Amino acid sequence: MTAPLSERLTALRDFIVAKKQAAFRRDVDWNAALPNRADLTTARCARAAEGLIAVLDEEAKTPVFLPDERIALTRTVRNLPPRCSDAETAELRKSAYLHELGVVFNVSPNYAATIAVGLDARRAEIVERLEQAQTESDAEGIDFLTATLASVDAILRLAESYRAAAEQAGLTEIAETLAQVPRRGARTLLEAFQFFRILHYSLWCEGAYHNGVGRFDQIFAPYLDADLAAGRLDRDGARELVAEFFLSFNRDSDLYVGVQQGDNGQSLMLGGCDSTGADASNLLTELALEACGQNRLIDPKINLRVSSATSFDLLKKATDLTRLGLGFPQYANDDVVIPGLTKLGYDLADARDYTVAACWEFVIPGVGSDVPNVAAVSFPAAVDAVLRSPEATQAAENNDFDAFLALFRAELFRRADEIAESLERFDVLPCPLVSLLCDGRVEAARDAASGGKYVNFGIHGTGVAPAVDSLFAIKRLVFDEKRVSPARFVEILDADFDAERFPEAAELLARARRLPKMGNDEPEPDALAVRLLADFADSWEGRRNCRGGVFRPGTGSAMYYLWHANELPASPDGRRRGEPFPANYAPSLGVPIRGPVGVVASFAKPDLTRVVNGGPLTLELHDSVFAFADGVEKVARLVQFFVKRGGAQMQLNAVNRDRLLDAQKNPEKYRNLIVRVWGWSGYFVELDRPYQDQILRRAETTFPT
Amino acid sequence: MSDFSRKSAANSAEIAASDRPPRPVRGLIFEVREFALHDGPGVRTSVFFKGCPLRCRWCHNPESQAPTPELLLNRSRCSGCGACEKICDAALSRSRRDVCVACGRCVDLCPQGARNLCGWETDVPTLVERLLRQRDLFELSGGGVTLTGGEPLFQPEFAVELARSLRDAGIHVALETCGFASPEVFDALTSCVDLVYFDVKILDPERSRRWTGVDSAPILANLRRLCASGRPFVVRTPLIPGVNDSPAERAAVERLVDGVPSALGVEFLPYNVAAGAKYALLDRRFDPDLP
Repeated sequence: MTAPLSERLTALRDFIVAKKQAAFRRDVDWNAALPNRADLTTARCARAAEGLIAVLDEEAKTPVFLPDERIALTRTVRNLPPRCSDAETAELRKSAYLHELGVVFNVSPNYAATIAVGLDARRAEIVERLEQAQTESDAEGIDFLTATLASVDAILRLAESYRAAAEQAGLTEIAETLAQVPRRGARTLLEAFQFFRILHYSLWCEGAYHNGVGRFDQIFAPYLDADLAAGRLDRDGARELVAEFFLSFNRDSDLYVGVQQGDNGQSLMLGGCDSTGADASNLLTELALEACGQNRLIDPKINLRVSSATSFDLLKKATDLTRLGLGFPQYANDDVVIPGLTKLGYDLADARDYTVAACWEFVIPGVGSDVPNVAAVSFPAAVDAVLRSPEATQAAENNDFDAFLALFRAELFRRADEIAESLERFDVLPCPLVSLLCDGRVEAARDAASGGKYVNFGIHGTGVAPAVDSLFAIKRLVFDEKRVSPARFVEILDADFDAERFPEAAELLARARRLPKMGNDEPEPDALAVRLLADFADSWEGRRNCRGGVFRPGTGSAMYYLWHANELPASPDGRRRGEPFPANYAPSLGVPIRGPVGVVASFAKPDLTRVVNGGPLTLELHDSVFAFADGVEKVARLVQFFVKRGGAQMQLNAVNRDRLLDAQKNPEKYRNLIVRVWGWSGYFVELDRPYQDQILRRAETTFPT
Repeated sequence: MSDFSRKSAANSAEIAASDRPPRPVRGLIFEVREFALHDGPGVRTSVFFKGCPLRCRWCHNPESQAPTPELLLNRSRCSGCGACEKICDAALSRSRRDVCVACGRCVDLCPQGARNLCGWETDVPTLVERLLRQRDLFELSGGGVTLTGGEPLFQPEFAVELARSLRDAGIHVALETCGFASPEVFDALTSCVDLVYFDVKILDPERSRRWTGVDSAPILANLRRLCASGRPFVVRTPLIPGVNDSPAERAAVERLVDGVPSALGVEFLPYNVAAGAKYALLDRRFDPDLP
């Protein structure tokens, strides 16, 4: 059990939770402030930098300090200048696919390298390379390097204005910290945190988004070690500093873009191994788990890398955090993820350095320019399409379920063809500041938008369990029992099992719902899951994307679990029209599941090294689990079991459905109730109703029952 | 009540008397619950035996009592679509227990999933195969399987066979029991498990009959046998307000195992008077009639 936050941080936390910092915010009329934008065709990087510089220069006018804080920098400008006009965006989209907002995002910048040397050193590097580009008349390089240089200078101006204001206000410690960073490399943990804050804050101002924090305990361990060795910090002091650093992620997060409030990609990774494969967890790993539990806020999102080498003590500490119901940590299993990444072509040392981008997509800090969420395949839609085909009727007439499965496999290949083709012309707008923090971009004089060491595309896979359950229902009802023909089944599904129109619909629905489902360690449905994910992996294997990378299929759904479900009528597994899919990799909603052990066993059976884009197995535990004296220990054993069985990623939630229902009725009482959504945690009452409702459906099946 | 006692006694006598050759034994269970948190050390799976010789007035699991399969009907999920009534006149009757043979046909017809069959027959190899699928979890957590119910001693042949098979496979087996059985049956089962959770409800024979339907004497006799056997056990007592929760009663329970080295402890479990929701599934009224 961790000590509560100090009085100082409790006050700071209360201040932030009450959003009092919003009082400092203002809107800027960017059309007036930026009347003449750089030309998008010849000076894309300049276009990016002018927006960033304008924001930072605005911010430099109004430094703000929250009460008793030690790590400064708070957004005061509410709105960011748009990168492009609507007309420009439309024009760009005519000639190529622009993903999401069209800029570099979902990467894990290498903050550590810059924090170590300081911006003066990085600036010198840019200046030198710019001279070379000018000599070579490399227009693109000049555009990128000039923009990067100007961006760095704007950051330095902002930091200096904060330093001067702090000095004037008598905030000696902040002034001293800012006298060192970001100009020079950090020497202490406080300086390193302040430096990170400046970089991360500036990335958001650039319009970059969903950029992960990276391997927190690896980035900052050298500074903590130095402080401990010099006697500047003890364990408690270090934890307090970590807690304050974590608080800083929550000040401006309501201004960040995302599908829902909380979907902001501020994810960090703990634990795991070093480049030789040795366990790299350290004191900061523990302090981060503890500090997160003290803060009890939605940011930053905590991930923990585990393996068969992870100590049980660390798993217990992590489970103690699960107990609090924040949806942290999310686990990733090195024993599966690292071999999976090397199969995709990542160098072993890079694979060992993996982290998550925004939610759960595995990326390599500094060198990964992957687009890990470029598209999604809906497995239930593929089942639906096959059931509707004339070939399915033929297969049923021949009583050949293998033929049906072959059609399903072909359908996955067809969908892969279609997606790959739609991505053949792919464009992304640059982010020079993100690129400064990506390895080798200055040296290459090119923005991360134009490439990097890894330029792979990640493909989500939605609704694994509903698709498996549907395939199994088709096997039983259409092939084994011959209760219904494919064509008739389709009619009944389109009519949402309407018993008025179809006399057999009620029994069909009842039967479909009672069939064995994926998640109970049952051989038959699980074998279909193994096959489905192998087919999915095969359908992408060997393809190259337009940037020279590969495709990485995965078991994540992101928000498609609602979108894809809404595109379908009822499904053969007994899911009615309008009912959502489970998020990510989890049993279908509302199906009879015996317990968490069977869920882990079932979902670990497929070869997950081949679908390693990311996408956690999600388990809902009733929060009463932790009322038992050894509840934490037993849940930690479940994590060990997940590792042992070869799970790739796991999300354990502690929920209480009664509380969620009450929160829907009385939101004012539950402002701070945190739930896990699909790869991030958010405030339940701030979610749109369909997301709330899906979480309630999930919470109907909690363990123990 | 008395006929259940007779039934149990007859059952026990039959077991004790016979010197059976090995043959497939079948048992009736109503749940295999994974990740059972309060049924012993480590991560455990609990097997719930259907049928119990006791009728505790406060019982929260009425579906565990009858030694036959039963239909559970969740009327709050019923949409009144009538699918079940097409094949069974008694499908929605509130007194269906008198006529329902738990054939289960209506279960497969209910699109709302309002119907469930509680209890299914299985044999030991089938059940053991299922339980052993998770042996690696038992091993890494120091867990195992717990036989509970209902009352495992009420199906002694099956329970003994199951416990033996599991232990032969190296699985830690715990037994949770009310202790009501013949000494022979009690010894037969307790001698092939690793840990016993022994429920002690009411010591006084008369009050025991009044509240649980059976005399406490055979239970306490079995507890004494357990104390003498040296097998590790834990005494568990649900604290029923006004029935057995007085300090004197609690002290008396504790005295039962005072100085017994193999007694690992006495656990007093709080009781939630408000819970009785499962009675409605059987169209029975929850009426503990507590003082």
